[in-house]
Amino acid sequence: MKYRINATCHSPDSPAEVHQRARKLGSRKVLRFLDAASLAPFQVAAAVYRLGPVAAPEDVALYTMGGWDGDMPDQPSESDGTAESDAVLGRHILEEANPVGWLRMLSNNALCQVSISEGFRGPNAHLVGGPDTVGQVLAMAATDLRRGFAGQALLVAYDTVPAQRTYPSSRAVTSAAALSLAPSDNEDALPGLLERARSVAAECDSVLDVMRACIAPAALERASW
Amino acid sequence: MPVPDPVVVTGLGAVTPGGWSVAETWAAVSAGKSCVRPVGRFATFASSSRVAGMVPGHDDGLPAHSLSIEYGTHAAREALAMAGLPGGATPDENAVDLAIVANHGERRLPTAGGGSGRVAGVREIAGRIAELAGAGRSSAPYGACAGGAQAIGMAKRIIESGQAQAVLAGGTDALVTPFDFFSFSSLYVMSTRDCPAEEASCPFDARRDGFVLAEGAAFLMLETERHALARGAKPLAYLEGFGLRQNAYHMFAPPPDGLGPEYAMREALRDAGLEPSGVDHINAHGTSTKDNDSSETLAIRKVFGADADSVPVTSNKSQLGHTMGACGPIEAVLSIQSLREGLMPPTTNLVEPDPACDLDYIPGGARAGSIRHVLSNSFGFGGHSAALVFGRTE
Repeated sequence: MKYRINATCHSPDSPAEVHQRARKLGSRKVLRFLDAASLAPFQVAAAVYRLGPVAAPEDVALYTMGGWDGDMPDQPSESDGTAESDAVLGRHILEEANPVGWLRMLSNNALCQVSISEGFRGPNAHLVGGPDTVGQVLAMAATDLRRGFAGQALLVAYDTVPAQRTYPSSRAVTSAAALSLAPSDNEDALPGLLERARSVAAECDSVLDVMRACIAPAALERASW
Repeated sequence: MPVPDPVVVTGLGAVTPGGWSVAETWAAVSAGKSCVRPVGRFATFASSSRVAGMVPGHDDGLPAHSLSIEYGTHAAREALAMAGLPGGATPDENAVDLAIVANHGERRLPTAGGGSGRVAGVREIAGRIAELAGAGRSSAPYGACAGGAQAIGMAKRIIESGQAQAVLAGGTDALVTPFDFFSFSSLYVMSTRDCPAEEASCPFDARRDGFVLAEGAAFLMLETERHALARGAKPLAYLEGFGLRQNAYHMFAPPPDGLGPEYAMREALRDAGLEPSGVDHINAHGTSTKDNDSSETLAIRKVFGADADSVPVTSNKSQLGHTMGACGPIEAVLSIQSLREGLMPPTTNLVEPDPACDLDYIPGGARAGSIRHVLSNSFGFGGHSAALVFGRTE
């Protein structure tokens, strides 16, 4: 089988613009689960599909990957062993804790929410990792397409600046870039993609840098999303 | 289209509430012995959930070091040794191409004075396992309870793509800590039933009311059959099929129609080239939550049709609890043990049948049988549904 890149997408530089675009793509029910860390991959995953839908949503594979591995906002502190401190922690656990805060810190959250929003039901995974991860995901996505497990594969990379990688999800501002891989009758983009991913990975620190390098030659993005 | 070289399992390793090896875990699970105990390593305050499945040791308190790394390196070392590969201080740097390590990091509660409470990040945990194996590359599926099965399936796909020949894949999670215990508690997904600890996890039973949080690690050494035979390694089982689908339904609730799990099982069987009638045993996700167990039962019925009544189904979580990112690899190890030993472990604590769960769940005690193919299910927060098919080698 041969493969082509049929769509690419970057998140805007401005977090406010990312939020605005995400609001156009997701319902309020979905958006309430998204905070700073997940907005960019959510927006880019939905946009890259809408830019080039080749397969029905239920036949779309979605792989997200990122370096962000952060924490929950406003988590409780450990008790110092005094009765007063125990009472504070106990009250927080039993009465005050907001479970949505914990769900928002899960780094597969963007994948889950965009799948609900767009109806993606194919193979899917989120990987926390470094630059090598892009090559692994390309290999998996290509196998999914070749073996007929998906008709189109979306690969989304997102990351923060290095200093924010362990920030809570509410304060980790991410950027994202994505490509859509589809079967092709003519060109075969896969060998070039794998080679570019491998060579760039050796020289950078982030999945996002590798993805940007992979999609730069394709330059298929349109401004509508 | 060329037929890909089969992917075989050449090494197994496990650290679970049942013990620090595959043999100890298999002995506990196949005997139907529950390993769930009251939590003593931290205060549970007035939480109505008070039990967990903990690896023996560290019962009286949490250490400063990462338990995920401790359990993970121990299980990885056992898998590498069984595969005849050196690991640890003198790994063969050409023997393992890639380590895929499902995990979710490890955290404690931060202290009041500051600090994040972070013990080890996701990449750090995966990196430590990769270093032990001498693998130059690593990655970490973050797929909740399906993450470990994703790791094994990803290894299959990457080996089939020709991008790797030998991959160490599995998962490690140590979430029986205040941070995660209280977070799950806030979601009301853990058992709060007033009963002895060892009876709390009761998959498919009418009394089930939530899962029992647990911890552990397991790894499989996976390689092409040609690669294994060329270096003189003995294949323990075939990894025949992998199916992975997205529920696209809810962040953590299973789909009532069982659609994601159904598709994952169908894809795994298609990947294996098997009809449902070819499956001799199902190692279920079987969490002991109301919704999972009925959804999974429905999905099995949809896939297996009339054959559903004749396929014995077990849930290892009835003995071990729910080890999160490690559950898929632990249950893969136990599925392979079933193939090799011709023995299907029971579903412990299944006393009161639920009309919504009407399959043969092997109540009472382990059952012997000739097993050629086992299907192992793992479903996770985030809507991930994964299924693996293992086949006997001889």
